[in-house]
Amino acid sequence: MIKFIRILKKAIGMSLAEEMAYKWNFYVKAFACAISDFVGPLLTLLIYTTSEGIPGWGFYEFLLFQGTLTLVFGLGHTFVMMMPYDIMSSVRLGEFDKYLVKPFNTLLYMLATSFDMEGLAEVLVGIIIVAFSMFKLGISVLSFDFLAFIVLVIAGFIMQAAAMTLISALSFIVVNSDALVQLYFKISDFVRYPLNVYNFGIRFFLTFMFPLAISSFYPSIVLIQGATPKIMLTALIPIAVFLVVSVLLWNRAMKSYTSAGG
Amino acid sequence: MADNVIHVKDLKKTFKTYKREEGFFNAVKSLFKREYTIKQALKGVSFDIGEGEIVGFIGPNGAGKSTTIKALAGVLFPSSGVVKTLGYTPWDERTEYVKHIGVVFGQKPQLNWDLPPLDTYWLNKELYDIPKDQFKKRLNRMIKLLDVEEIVKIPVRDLSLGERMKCALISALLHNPRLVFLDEPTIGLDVVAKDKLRDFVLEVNQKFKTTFIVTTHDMGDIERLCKRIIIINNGVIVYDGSIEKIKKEYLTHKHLDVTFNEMKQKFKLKGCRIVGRNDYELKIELDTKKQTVKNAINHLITNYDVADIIVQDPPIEEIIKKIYKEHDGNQK
Amino acid sequence: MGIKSKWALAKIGYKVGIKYRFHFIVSMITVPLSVLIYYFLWKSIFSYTSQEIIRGFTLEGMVQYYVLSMIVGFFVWADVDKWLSQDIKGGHVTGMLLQPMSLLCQYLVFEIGINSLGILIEMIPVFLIGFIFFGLKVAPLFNFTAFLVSVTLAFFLSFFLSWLVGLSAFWLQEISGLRRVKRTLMVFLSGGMIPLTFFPEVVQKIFHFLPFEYIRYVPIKIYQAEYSPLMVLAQLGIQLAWIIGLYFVCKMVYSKAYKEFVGAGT
Repeated sequence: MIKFIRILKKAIGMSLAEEMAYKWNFYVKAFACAISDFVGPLLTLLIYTTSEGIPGWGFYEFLLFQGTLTLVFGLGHTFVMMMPYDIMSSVRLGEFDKYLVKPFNTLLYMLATSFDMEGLAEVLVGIIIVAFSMFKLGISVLSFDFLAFIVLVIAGFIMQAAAMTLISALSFIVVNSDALVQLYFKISDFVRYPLNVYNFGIRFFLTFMFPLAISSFYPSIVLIQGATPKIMLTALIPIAVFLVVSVLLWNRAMKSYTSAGG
Repeated sequence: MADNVIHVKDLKKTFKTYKREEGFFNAVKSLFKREYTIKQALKGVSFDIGEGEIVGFIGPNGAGKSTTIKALAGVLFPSSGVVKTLGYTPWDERTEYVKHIGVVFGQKPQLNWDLPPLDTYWLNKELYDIPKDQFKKRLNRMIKLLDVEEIVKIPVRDLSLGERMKCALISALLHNPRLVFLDEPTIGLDVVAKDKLRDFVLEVNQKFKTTFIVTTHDMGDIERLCKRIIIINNGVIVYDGSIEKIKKEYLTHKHLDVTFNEMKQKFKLKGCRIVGRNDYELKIELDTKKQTVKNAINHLITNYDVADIIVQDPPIEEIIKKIYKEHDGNQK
Repeated sequence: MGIKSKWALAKIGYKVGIKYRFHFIVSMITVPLSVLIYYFLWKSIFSYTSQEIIRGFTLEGMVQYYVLSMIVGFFVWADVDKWLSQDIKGGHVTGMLLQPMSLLCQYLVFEIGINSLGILIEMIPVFLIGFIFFGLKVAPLFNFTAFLVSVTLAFFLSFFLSWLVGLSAFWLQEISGLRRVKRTLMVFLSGGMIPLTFFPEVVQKIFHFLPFEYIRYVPIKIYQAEYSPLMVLAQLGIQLAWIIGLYFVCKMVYSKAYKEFVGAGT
């Protein structure tokens, strides 16, 4: 919807203006984000200089994996990560109703207003690392594989939006919602390493049940080993299902909230 | 009937509140079995409100006041009953309906905290699809009316409460809503700010025929703004009518504030009771069924050296308290 | 202000901790999950290389290292930078300064209260999980005692560093960025993500002059009996030296922060 884009633009503008109110802190935050994201590559270096590394992944391949991870999580951080926090704090303060009296779909509005500029630093770092590794591995931007990569990166972003929606929906039903967020971050820690290091159960969970592996593993596999219909479908179908489930759960949560009067 | 902005018939709402126990083991237990109590917040409420009315909703906390308002705003759906606002069923057609209403929550900020109100206004323009010229015209008009030209450019966190409320009011009116909910709009404001806010509401009401629903505990709001009040207690409407009618029905007393030229005067008259005393002053409560004001004044002037006499109605609070008590009495 | 009031404050910290009862459940889930991730990671790395020992670690040693890292984490985690910045923003610091106990003491006692709860309720089950599922070995008495002393010292070290970060909130309104840097660096440089022996020799030597390895890596090594008894005492001594040094730095920075705060008149 065009209206969504206009609201999004306005919300982003306002978020930027807010950040500029604390200019100093903004630069530190962006810098801090960038530093945190270099820890991954640093670890890669340490592992690969002291051992053969991770099976199936050469040094630059693993670096590409890390870069993809940073890029996708960076996108999530920029556009959707703040949503559960906003929702939980406004519910706690009894202010959530103000979102319900706005003439726009509440979920979309919350997503549009979750912009966090800090995430852009992560996106940038991610792009740099991906570009660097692609160059070292000789992967061309003009390939079909790269197109598939972009598709999966976008899917990874959508997955995060869906996950944030799920968490927000559950926070209406469960008392302790901080626990939900912590659990999510723990799950996301699993996808910081390639799927093939895990056993079957974990791989299955992260691909089909809580398909967060789309954030790192599948896009990078597609660039390194090449895109096949099988990989694309394995990656994309669970995302679609998960998206539907989380939106349904959100609607359910809204229904129960308006029945209980908040 | 077609004129009615709000039509409510037999509105009922029952809540299930889940008991939340203290302690770790109870928390785990509550994961499996939950005990709850049933509370009937609304037991069948009916009323109609026409266009251009300013209606005050009064009631003790927990009486069902906010439940009714939330149902009208579309934020809550009831257990049973009919609610039609502006032709819509609020919670069913929420996104469409909400385009025509405005809401102001006293003390709970709706404006972006770190930015000037102007930024929130421009976001609202997008949200409510207000055409640019219409938006600008209306905005400038209201800014002038409330005299907040410079204020709207200052970040909300740096504004006083009165300034914030004025800006919040503008925010709620920008899209020319037909119905506006004001929840405790003057709470915490100083006398001057209260006046300005109330005058603004009256002006908007006159110029645009905007219907206002005001929930408040402030009697000044009631007296100045609301020609009609609805009193809700224990989930039912205890009174629905004009303030004059309330006074006529329930006004059985008058207050006389008398200032004497001599100290410590003794006073006794049939139907009169002393309710306040100072060195030179007496506050007398007169029961109009047993005594007339004319008699009392004559008596005072004839027998005492009187400097001043002021005749007043007792404050509305007392009347309303009486109504609450009366209804509670009926319940028992 | 005597022991009684300090005890009362610690109890409040404890009560706040009680409220985080779900925190316990979450910890019981997330801590083993964390160790699991590292287990899988290093299992695959070890399987891919011909080496049996990498930088002084076998696979079992690695897993034990991470379990101990989690346990040490319960002891040394200090959130005082978060509390302080929140209290400054919320205007509560003024009230706290009126108490007859230094600001640092108030937060220290509060933090001890919270951590004690974590230690009592969460650490012991994690130890058990470590013994049962991850092959954690029981340390000899000397090492275990030294370990407890070491993590206690490490707590103070971690606390003072976090305190310094928190003090910056007197100058900057928002320190969320700084806090993130602190968290990342403290975990990474103390060996929380990878044992410090994986760094190049030169870098390891530099680490000896920084306080970070004494927060996590050294206590773990003490437990795993990697040091001779004399060396253990020496390491404890260095921890103590760092604490004393940082204490004075904290005092210095605090007096500057106090001047800033009072001067601003907020």
